[in-house]
Parts: sequence; C-alpha cells; structure tokens
Amino acid sequence: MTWGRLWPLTPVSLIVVFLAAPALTAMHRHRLRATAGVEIPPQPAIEHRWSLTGIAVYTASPATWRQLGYHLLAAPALAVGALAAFGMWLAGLAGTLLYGYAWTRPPGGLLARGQSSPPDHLHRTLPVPVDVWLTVGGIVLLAAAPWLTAAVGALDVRAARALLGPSRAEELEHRVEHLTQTRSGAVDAADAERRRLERDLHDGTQQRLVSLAMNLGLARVQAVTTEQAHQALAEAHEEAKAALAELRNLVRGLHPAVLEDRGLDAALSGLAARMTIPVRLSVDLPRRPAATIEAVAYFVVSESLTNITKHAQASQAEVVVQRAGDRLHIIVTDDGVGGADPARGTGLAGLAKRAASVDGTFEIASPPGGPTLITVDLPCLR
Amino acid sequence: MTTLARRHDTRNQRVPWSPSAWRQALYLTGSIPAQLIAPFIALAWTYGLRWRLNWFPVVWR
Repeated sequence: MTWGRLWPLTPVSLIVVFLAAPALTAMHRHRLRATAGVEIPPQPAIEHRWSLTGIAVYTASPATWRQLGYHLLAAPALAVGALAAFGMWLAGLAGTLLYGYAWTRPPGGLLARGQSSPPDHLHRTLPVPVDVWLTVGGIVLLAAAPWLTAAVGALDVRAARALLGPSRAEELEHRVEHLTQTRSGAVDAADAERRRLERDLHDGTQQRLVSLAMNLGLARVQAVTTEQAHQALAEAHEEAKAALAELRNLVRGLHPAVLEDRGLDAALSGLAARMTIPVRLSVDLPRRPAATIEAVAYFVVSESLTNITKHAQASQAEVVVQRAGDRLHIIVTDDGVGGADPARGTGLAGLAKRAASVDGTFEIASPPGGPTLITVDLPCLR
Repeated sequence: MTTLARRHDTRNQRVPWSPSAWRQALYLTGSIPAQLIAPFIALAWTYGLRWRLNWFPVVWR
C-alpha cells in the first residue's frame, strides 16, 4: 500500500485527531500531573461542544490549534527524544557491565577481556582492547543519560505548558473573571457578616442594655426602701454583666486579640475550649501564616464549630490545621447527623465566599446521617 | 521561630545511581506510547479507511 494512494484519506484522519484533541489533552495533563507533578491549567470549557456553534467556536480558538500542534508535532518529537534517552540508558548500562562480562568469555573471543583490539588506526595511537573502549563509552553514556532524560522531561513540560495550557492572555482573562467573582463574593460575605452583627447586637446586647436602663430607671423612681433599691441594682448589675459577656463573645467571633498576639494555635485552642462539646484540635504550623489568612482560617473554624454545636447534634468534633508547602489545609469534622447544605443557608455559602476571597477553596461533604466533613484549603505563601 | 529548610538541589538527581533519575527515565519511557497516540490515531484511521474503501471499488479504484 503506497502513500500516494493513502494521502487523500489523511484529512479525514486529521479531522478525527482534531476532534479528539481535548481528550488527548486531558490525558497528557493527567500524565504530567502523575509523572512530573506539573499541573497544566485546563482550557476553558466550550458550551454545547458538539453543536454547530460549539464546533465553530472550537475551530476558531487558537488553543485548539496549539493543542493539535502538541499532539501531532511536539509529542512525537518528544517521544523520539525519550526513546533516545532510553537507548542511552540501555547502551550505557550494557557498556558499563561489559567489562565484567568480558572476564567470563573464553580467550580469543570478540569480547574476551584484553583479547580483541580496536581498528588498526586506533590501536596504533592508543593500544587499548575493545572491551575497555566499550566500557569507557558505556560509563560516559550512563553519566550522560540522566542529563538527557532531564532535558527531554523539561522540554516535555515546557511544550505542554506552552501548547496545552491557556496562553498568558487567556490566563489573565480567566484570572480577572475569577477575581471579579471572588470580589463580589467577598462583598456578599461582608454584607452577610454585617447583617449578622446587626442582628446579634440588636437581639442580644441592645436588649440587655434596654433592660439595664429600665431597671436603673425603676430603681430611681420606685425604690423607696434600701432593700428595693438593692434588688433593682442587683438586677441591673446582672444585666450589665450579661451584656458584657455577649459583647465579648461577639468580639471573639470577629477577630480575637489572642489571634493577633499569639497566632492561630492559641486562638483556636481558646475557641475549642469554649465549645459545649469536646473538640479535638491539632495544629501543625511551623510558621505563622499572613494575618489575613489567619483571620479567614479562624473565622472558618469558628463558624464551622458554631454550626456543629447549633445544628449537627454532634457529641464531638475534630479540627486539623496543617501547612503543606504553600497551602494551609483545614479539616473540620464531627459525628453529627449531617445533611448540611450550603444552598439552604447563608452560613456555609458565606464561608465558601470568605475562603474564595483569598483564593482558597471550601468543600463540604455532609451526607444525611453524617458525618460532616469540611475541607478548606487556603494559600499560605508567607 | 526559625526553620531551616534543606536546599533542593536538582544536580544531585542527575547521576546514574540516583533513584529519582531512574524514576524520571521510567516515566519518560512510559510516556512514549501516550506521545505517539495522535499520529497513531491518524495513521490507523487512514489505513482503516483505505481498507473500508477497498470494498467500494467504484469510489476508490
């Protein structure tokens, strides 16, 4: 079968590769993540991919043609490089082991130790047997093989980043969209927080202060005996203490001073100690994260534990905070009834927005019957 | 608190006795089929179509 008879069919085959490019790209992204630990950002998804509009958008996108360039040109070239590196390892190993092998050969054989000679012109200048030549060559190849492997691997990563991932402009566009969304989320979260504060102050502290003022007013107007005055003052004192306690709790829920002074570990220890259910706390932070991240982490744990005590009917909870590279992982779990749904209330959605406002992620798994598992991942570059 | 982090020196990985060099070689070799899959699909389709069209001599021959 000659190429001359086959070439008219090639465009059809290329169309198949063209349509399969996103699947191939996904495979290479997975491959590079698994083998090189490199994360290639995904291309923005095309809506209604298999409709005529979707195919038109897909065809017009420069990203599609970059992907095709990788799959049809760069990847095969890199495969040749990988094959060369593999060959170099094999030849290097074979050559290096040859000297030992030559000892086992009977004298006079081609590879017997010291018996054979290189071509005459080499032998005249440097009288060294073939086995030594090959062994030295093998050692050189074996020493060079890791460098070629690393070079081909680095080229593979660079080519994949340039051709499979979004371009710089696309990346920036995506970043702007993400920032716009998270900014809007942060504003929503701040609004929700302000409304909660207003509600807490109105329903709690303000009512206590009203009651305190009324008690003092009654004492001034009606208390004719020392005993009545003493009674009214005692009630007023209790109200004042309760108002102070509520204010203190409110402030603690916002940004406690201990967080600023002694960090997340101490602040979360205090928080766990104040909970009405046992909380097992594990904090592993070699260095303090940035103040904003600490505040978000504290807020997330505080709100999660408050939700657990209010709604989960849990008998215990566990909080794990640890740093892994440049990320801060927070896990909050309980043994409660589960069924928490971010779509039903503003609390969990607010936590997600709060995490997103610093480029973090928030995930919750809470099947009916429990348990609930909240996982928060925050950037932690400091 | 001061934390001393060990310097990550990639040069030490580029010696034949380094396990990471072997690992990288293994991964790279294992990647070869994945890298050749697109040309393979193209060729397979080309030959597959040729074989199919052999059954339609009016069209192809």
